[in-house]
Amino acid sequence: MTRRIGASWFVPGLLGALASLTGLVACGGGGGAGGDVVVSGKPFTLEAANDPKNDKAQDAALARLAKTPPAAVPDVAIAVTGTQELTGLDLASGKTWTFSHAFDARPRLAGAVVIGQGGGEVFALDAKTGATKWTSKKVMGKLIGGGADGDLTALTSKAGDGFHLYVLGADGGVIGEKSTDVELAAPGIAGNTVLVPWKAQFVTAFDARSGDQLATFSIKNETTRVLPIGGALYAGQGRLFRVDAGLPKAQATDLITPPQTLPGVFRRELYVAPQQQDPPKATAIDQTLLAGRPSPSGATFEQGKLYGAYYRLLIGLDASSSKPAWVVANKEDYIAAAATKDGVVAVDEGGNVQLIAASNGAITKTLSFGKPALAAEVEVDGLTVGKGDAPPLTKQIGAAVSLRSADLATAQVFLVQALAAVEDEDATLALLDVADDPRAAAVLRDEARTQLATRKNGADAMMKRLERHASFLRDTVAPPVGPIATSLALQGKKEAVPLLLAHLLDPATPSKDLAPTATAIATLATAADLPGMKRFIVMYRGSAQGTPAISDAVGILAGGVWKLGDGKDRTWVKEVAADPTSDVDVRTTLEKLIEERKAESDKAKADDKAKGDDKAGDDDKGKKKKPKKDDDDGPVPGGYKGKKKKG
Amino acid sequence: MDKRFLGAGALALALLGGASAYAQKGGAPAGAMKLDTKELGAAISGNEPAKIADGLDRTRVAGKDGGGKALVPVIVSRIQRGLPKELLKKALETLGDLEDPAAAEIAEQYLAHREADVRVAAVNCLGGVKGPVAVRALRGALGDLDARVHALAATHLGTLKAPEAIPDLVIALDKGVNEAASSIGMLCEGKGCDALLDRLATKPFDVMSSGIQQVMARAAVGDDVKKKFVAAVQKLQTRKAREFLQELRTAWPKGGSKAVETALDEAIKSLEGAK
Repeated sequence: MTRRIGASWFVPGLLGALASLTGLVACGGGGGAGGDVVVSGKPFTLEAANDPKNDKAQDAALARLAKTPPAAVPDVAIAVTGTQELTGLDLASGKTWTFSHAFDARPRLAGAVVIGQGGGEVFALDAKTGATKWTSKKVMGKLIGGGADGDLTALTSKAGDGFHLYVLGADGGVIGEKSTDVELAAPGIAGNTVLVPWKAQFVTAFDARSGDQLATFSIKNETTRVLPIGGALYAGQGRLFRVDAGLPKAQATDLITPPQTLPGVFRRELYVAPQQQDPPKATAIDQTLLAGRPSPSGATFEQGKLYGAYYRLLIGLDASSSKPAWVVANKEDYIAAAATKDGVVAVDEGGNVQLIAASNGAITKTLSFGKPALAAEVEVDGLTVGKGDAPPLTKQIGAAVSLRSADLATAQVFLVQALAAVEDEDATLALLDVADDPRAAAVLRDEARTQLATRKNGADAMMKRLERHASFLRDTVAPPVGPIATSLALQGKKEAVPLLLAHLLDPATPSKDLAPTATAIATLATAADLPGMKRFIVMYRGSAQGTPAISDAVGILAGGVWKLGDGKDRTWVKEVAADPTSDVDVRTTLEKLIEERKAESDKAKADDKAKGDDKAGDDDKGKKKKPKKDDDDGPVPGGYKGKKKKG
Repeated sequence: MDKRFLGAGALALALLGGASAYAQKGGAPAGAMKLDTKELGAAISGNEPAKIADGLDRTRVAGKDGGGKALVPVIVSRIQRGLPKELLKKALETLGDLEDPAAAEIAEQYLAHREADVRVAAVNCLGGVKGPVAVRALRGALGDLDARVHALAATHLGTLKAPEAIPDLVIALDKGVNEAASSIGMLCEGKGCDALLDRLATKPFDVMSSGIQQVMARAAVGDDVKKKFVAAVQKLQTRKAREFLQELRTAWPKGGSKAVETALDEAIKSLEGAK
């Protein structure tokens, strides 16, 4: 299929074509800055990029942009509030406007205007008031994206014959148009300079009024948008770079990029390809948004913060470490957000627009579209969110992880991991609550259990929790005994042993908790706890076959009995190991234990002997040699020792 | 035994024979040989599974009156030293048959075993050995997460005459433990029986009728209470209610309360044609 490839700008006459082909220097044509270089070659191809003049042309185009930066964008939010209804919200005044029109796709904010398409036409509205600025039936195909600055609007579209770039004037009349079979993305415009991303790797600058090809930039990062932020044009998608004089040489270092450590919770890109946000109803891409505002001072984000939404949760993240600084647990899913200089403006499905402080997640103001929002977009430049009071991070995370929705589990696991980094007791209690919540998603509960086991505080609350046992009558479940046991052992809480033993001997204690509970008991127990430990061993020495969790627990407790007990207790362990009515698994486990203890004892004896020999060699003569131990099994109670000696 | 619904024959037995519909157990068969308790004790105390099993079987066959009771301490001691699962169950069942309260504590300990089969054996043992320790333990077993264990505990609490367990049995009944209805009927007195009446319209009739049968069969329950039950069943206005009342009437003892008999007759008459 042959496609029409080429350019038409104004009336595509001979003069224009000649100018384009010969690469004449445009002398301020169409209001451009003096010193522009016009590059030859087919637009949106490497011909232009490879033009020997392109390097110089790039500098000239950037200098031109530096002289005519884009105007600040208004602080507005728009929302699709019906199949044919768009509602706008002036964030400064709180005033709303409504516009009814057919929509082929989601209308978009483009600087000071809203651009949409439907009913066979493209329309532009004043973003602050909703007043129609113009409509046009000249734009062919489906709208991709657009940008507006002053009276000019640049649009890209995809039609059956390829992709189109249009520049329209204040009345919607087409000033110029170019078409290509190369994939175009969402353009930006500043002054009279249009920047058009193509093939996601290149950006070409044109003079908006003459259509002159000013320069082509090869971009190292995926670029599907050019947009104005804080009076400068930025380009990119997942990462942004500021389009300024340093672009061609320094874009890698000046890249404003989310940190590598960003968890796989939110979408990892600040923006997505325009077509991914076409549907008039928000999708998961919108509900897992990532927002951040480039700092004008360098390759970082305002306030050092990024904002990630995960359905009902909005998390303020440290832009360097990705650690959460705060989290807002909302009633409805977030569907759009934009970062301001001091916070973030977020829109939820209920049509609420929250202004949230960067520092602590305080909601300083809530505005509303007055109706639920199907999809939304926010654009901010001068808006100040301000400050407010918010609970500490631990409480915020506690509230967020207590929400019972399997949809939230991914973000909740991330928050639980963050909670574990907080050492205070409140964090321990929050982890305990999640680990102890049978309604929590399994993945969340498991993470909380893992983190709970590492805690070094909260013992009182943990022991209180151990007082509860599972009961059919009382509708109670077993607490997270294993992680609690491990933590209590870390904290050296010997007084917890009776509580732990009661759970070890409770059939409702999950098998996975037996080994950690037995280990904690063996670590913390005193001689007074020996009967309870033996009771477990007796109960299961013949019933552990095929259930490693039980035979392991038996082995661990037998090790504890060996350590704590006297010679009689060790003999008892040996008898259990030798008893044919003990399960093979138990016998094997205990035999191994006995062998290990014997090896340890032999080694200790050998070491003692070696020490004794050394001492005998080194010490003064006449010193008595240490008497040889008469019991291989470690310390023996005094009375027993005496008897043995007598015998 | 499934006590959810007793046929007319069993009902008659219940009404004529007292509260418990359970057959007597533990008695020595006629002509049973005298046990060699020394030999059996040695077998049970030993470490040879086959001999232990044989010793337990012979003890069980001998029963409490055939010399088995003397072996209770030996069996208890053997359990305390630990046994394989199958022998453990057998030992607990044997202790239950021997009906010695001295076995209650060891059986209570085994309500904590992770194998539900062992806990079932322990509950049955407690039902057999009776006594306050058994009642306490069975009340605890009502909270067991295993349906077999808590249902069996509910049943045994009825036969153990433990009215202090009624509040727990009512909770169990509300949580779907049907066996609790019968036990409540075996234990309740006066207003305490209202727990059954209150649930007559909301619980399946087959479940509740097992409890009402027990109430109606007990001499200790006053005529007023029994008449209240008759009236409550009559109020259901169903064919099942009529059939149930007819069964009660058929089995009503000749020397039984005339007032209740009359109430039954009138209720049955009023339910003629009920669907």
